[in-house]
Amino acid sequence: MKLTLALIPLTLATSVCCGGTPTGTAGESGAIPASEAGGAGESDAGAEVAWLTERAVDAGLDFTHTNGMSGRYYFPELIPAGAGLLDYDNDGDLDVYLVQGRMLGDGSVRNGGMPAANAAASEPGGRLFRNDLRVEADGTRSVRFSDVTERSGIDAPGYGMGVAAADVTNDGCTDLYLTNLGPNQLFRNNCDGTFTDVSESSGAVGGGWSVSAAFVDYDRDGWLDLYVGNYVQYSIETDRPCTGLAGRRDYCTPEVYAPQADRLYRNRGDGRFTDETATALSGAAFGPALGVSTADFDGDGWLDIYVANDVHANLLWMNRGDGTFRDGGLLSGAALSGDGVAEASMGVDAGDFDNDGDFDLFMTHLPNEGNNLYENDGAAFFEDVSIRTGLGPASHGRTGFGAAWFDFDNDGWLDLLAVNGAIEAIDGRGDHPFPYDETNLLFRNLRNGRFEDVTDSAGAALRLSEISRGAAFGDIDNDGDTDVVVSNNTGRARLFVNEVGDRNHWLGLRLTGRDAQRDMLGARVAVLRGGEAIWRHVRTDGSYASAHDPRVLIGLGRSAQAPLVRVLWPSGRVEEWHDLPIDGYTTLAEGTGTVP
Amino acid sequence: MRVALLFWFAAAAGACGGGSPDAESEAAPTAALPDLSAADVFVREQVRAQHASLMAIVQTPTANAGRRADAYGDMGKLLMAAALHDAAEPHLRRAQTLAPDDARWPYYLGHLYRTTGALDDSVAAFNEVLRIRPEDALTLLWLGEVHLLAGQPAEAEPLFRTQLAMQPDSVVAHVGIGRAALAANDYARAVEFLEEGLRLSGQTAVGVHYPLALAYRGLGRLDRAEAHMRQRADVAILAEDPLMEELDTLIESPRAYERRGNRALSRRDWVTASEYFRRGLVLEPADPTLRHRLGTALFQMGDAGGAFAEFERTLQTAPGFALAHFSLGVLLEGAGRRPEAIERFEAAVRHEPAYIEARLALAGLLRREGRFEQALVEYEMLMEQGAAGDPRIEEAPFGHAITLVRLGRHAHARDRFMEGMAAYPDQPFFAHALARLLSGATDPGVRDGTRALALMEALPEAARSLDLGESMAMTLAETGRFGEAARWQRGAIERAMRGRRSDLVPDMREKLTRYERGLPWRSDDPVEFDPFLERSAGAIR
Repeated sequence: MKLTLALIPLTLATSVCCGGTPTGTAGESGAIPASEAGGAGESDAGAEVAWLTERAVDAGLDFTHTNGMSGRYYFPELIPAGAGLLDYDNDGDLDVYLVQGRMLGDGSVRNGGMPAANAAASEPGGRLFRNDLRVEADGTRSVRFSDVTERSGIDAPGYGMGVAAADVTNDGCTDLYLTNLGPNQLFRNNCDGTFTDVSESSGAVGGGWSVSAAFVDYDRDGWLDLYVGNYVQYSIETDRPCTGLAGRRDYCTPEVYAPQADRLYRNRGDGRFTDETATALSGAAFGPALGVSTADFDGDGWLDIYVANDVHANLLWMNRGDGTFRDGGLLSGAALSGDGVAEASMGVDAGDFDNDGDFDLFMTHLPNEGNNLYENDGAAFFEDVSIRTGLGPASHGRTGFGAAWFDFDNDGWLDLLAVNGAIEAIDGRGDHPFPYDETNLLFRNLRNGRFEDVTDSAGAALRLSEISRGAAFGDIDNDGDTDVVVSNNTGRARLFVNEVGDRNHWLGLRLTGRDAQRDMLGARVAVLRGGEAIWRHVRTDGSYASAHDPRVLIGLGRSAQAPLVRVLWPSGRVEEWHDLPIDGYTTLAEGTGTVP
Repeated sequence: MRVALLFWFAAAAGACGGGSPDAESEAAPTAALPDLSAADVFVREQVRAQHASLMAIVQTPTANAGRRADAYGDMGKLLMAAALHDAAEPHLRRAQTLAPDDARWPYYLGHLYRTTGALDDSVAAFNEVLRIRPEDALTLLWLGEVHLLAGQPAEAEPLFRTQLAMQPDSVVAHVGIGRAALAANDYARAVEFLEEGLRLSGQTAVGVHYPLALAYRGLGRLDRAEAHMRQRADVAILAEDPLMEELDTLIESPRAYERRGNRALSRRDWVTASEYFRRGLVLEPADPTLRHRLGTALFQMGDAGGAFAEFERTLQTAPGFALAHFSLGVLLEGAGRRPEAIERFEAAVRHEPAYIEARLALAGLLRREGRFEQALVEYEMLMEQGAAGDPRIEEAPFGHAITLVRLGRHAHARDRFMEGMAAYPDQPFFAHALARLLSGATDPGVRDGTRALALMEALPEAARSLDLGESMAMTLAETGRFGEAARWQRGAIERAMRGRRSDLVPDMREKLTRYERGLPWRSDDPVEFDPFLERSAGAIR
């Protein structure tokens, strides 16, 4: 596929237009027509083009996860791992952090363990891959990753679960928070390509078993705070044996263990965090948390926190604006299924799927539950529309983990990718030592409140059957569409490169602070055209144990009209920009726009 | 909730004798024994025995199709009960082929497909049941349920209505129509049918409260929505279903009995639960989980002696089973055998260091036994272990502060209470305890009557409703307002007598005498109360 240049590096309120013209057969709205289904779209040359292609090894993203499978069915083996996208070296392209596991217990393997898989794993510890994106004069681009873990100073030998990424020191460089079975780690970016482990001094180490974490400036003091979702109270010493109905040894369910309380850490602005859990979060019992997503769900200007719990009611922490939260979960309608049943929620993401200006919630579940979509009425009252939208029934039979809203075809409407992998041994796999693999699901937004399962149309990448967990979304090749890094439990990491999004016009934005050159997580962006608006927000959280591209990428469909962009900053300030260039990335700094 | 319906089970079972041996020859039977390498020995033996029975019938030339269908169907049922769905499906399909007019096989298939998420296949299977038995009430309901699951409320509602026409007082049909209306955003009609379902159930269908809350929310009646939300419970509204209940009894293994017992425990049916656990123990006498559960069920039935014996037997086979140590500790403490209870709690946390309840129990009991230094160590461990627990649980920091008071380290205790007030602003007992310490501490460097009075006056209204009269008297006396202090103290004495706590009165009178003489109250332990003293024996889990 021929691509043209996007800007590198990003600069303040300037843009470099890549000048790309959408090609192919996009319809009036810019959606990829159904006629392209059947495995691929069609290139200029008439050859089949997959919508997503898997290019991890080609790009040097050579990483194999191990869960340390010992044959003892230690509960944590089934849960990892996440993936993170961050531009750690500020060179304008996204680098990748991949979470690694290791052997648990005494390191011995029982019958039923998988020493071959463990031996095939990448080096111990999480790995940082630098993106050395090259863009040729003709616009051709090549993504090439180099493993820079050692020289970065990152040493993450723990049993890794997830990753969160954001600039917690307001120095313009993205820091890294790693969740583990055991103490978590915070790595401060030294802005010179290296990191320093500041875990102990940060006050945000926690402990126990953390999975997903989210950075959010909940008190609007300009410093990013941290919510850590914790799973269950577990230790290898107290691991309990569990079996299925047939007595088959299998991994436990979370009910076997008591939930571990989540943590809310406030960033003091001096490199340290204070644990505000006891004072800030009241009114609801914590559950085993697997996913965390932040957004201003009721539009009051204060960022709220949604927590996806496994087999417990989910939590919706509504920000009171005074440093505390109340749980709005049950009456919000987003804590339970439409029938009032607590489900096994894993991944979660907030996004405005119906372009009505508020943030809806998508989350992934067990095969007999189906994935859920909760539609927001704007006041943080949600309705379970999983069935009506088609998403619930279409996901029956899969165990969803990582998932996020992304406009894969840049038609202006958010689509979904859910990556899957079972948590109970799948029948009929004979003596397969680890029968948990499933295929993933891609849903296209039909712009009428319904979604279509287009997995089969997306190409071979989505026919891979793996034990997928994390999914990190971002424009890795800077070509104006969203790519995905998928982390697989006991398997290779995957890089799904989007081959079709740039057929449509797009607007790429990076939103930075007025004083601090950091990404302004939580900022809301409205793209206004002809009386219609597309709402997005800046975030790195959501999905499962993963960190996304903080840039906002808005599909414009076939329209080349320069839109009006309105930004609602976390500080409460509202600003507008007119005539921004399209098909390129622009950095918008708070305080440089016009007040409407 | 269980609702009686008409059943075709007996009739259907009697209808399976027909057919001819030739019917089977049309498709080769897939009677291979499924892979059971990972199943436990009990299930393996059961499945092998069932399979041998199946093969014997298949190889009997005189066995007619009906008999063969039963053999395949029974095999399918057993595999389905063991959640081996992939293996169960061909057997049930074979049974259906051999006995096309026996409604049981498509009925089980309908459930199997519903469980695995194959909703189209489930609809087809339940429709096949209706072809055979057009007015089968249970199948109408389940088919409606699957249509709801598939996002087809318009297809679901007529099925519920058909069932309702046959049984006008059907709770399940009312709720089904209500849920279909809710799915269609017809909130008024949803409220109408859900309320009627709730009424017909005698208000026992607690699973209705959640959809009802959402329906009221849709109408904008948030007060009603919140009221129903408070009453919700995770209880499905299901009709009595003998065929599926039969499945539930097929597997005879320790784990299957444990699951049945746990379900009975969750519905507070202690007798049934104990019976299931006993049956599991017949198969696996050394299973510590089953035996501990049996002890729990016996305890809930009021048989503390039986529970004690089972907990002890649990430890004979599994000395490191922390739950049993803890449960024994709770029983021993309840029996006043505190030193032994402490040993059990110590054993529980030795075997499971992150066992928060056990460590809290240990710390509290050590404190009440006057072993303050040891209690402090445990409380400090709890607070250090906060990562494993819920930092909102205030018992550890409060207990730590109280222990410091008991040790006479009043200044340290004061600081702890102040930290507690900051960390747990919703818990008034930190402020209450601090006020008492500031009023009555023997250390003059700690006493601060003015601040104590301010703390008492600032207690929230809910806390003021507690019997705080004596504390108020203490603080008033410390500020020199002895007349008011005496009035408050007399009021507190009256309340104690009315509350049948005359045991407290002598000490209270002693304080009153001091106030009447113009003297404040001083004590090495001025806090005196412990909001966590009432540790429930319900902690046994």
